[in-house]
Amino acid sequence: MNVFTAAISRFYPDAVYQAIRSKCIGIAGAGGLGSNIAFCLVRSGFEHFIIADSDCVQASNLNRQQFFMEDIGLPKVQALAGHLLRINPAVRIIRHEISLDEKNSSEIFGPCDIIFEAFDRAAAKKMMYETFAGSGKLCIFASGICGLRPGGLEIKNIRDNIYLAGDGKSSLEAGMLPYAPRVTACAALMAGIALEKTAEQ
Amino acid sequence: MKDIIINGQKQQTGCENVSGLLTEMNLDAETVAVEINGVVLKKSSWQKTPVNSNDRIEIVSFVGGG
Repeated sequence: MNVFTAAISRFYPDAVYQAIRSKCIGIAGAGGLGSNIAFCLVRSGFEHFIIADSDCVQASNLNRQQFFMEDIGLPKVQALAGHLLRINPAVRIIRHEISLDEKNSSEIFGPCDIIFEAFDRAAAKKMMYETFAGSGKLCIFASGICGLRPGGLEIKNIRDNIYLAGDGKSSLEAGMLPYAPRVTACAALMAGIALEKTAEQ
Repeated sequence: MKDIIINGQKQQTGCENVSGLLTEMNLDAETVAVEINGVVLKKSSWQKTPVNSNDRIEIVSFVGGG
């Protein structure tokens, strides 16, 4: 145990904390949604992650993503892993600096118990749904997180362990942009689903 | 016409297959995912998957941003 895990263990019954520590979390995309989901989950006690993203940190990402000035130019998965380890040095993060497609995402996230779709492009979100929504894993997707409006985000339980968070409308296609409050709020909802479902088991 | 349920709502359609249904609904094939009776369909199978009476169809639409 380190000081973080010793402290966080007091927030949960033993069996729940052990369940949280044992889950393998897959995050497809380490941008606005993915970086904020990862921060939430590490702070909640999760320790095993597989994170994939092909991008490097740009200055424009700092408006909503969990990166800092000194990260600019670094691969997002590398910078994010470094930050997560600063919260809890016990976390284990398998990093994939790769552009995900149907084939490689099945291989990369195969070991995961819980999968987050955290892309920005709608076509990539659809690809993740078609790849994993029938897998039996807990899968959490997002759609509609742009704009300045603080309210209106919802969690839809599509079926079984398939969830969709967001408002379904506010989008890049509608000429809207993503800002920290709404993106972070949606990421927090998504992380909350994983935490609650893990604690219920 | 066939009675089907789309996203929990009763509807009628004369479409033969999933591709036709999405076209009828004016949905973008590149940004929607489809389930019929709890089975996720890949886009490559939409054309050959028939729409039958009493099918429960879930259409999940995605928009960009993240």
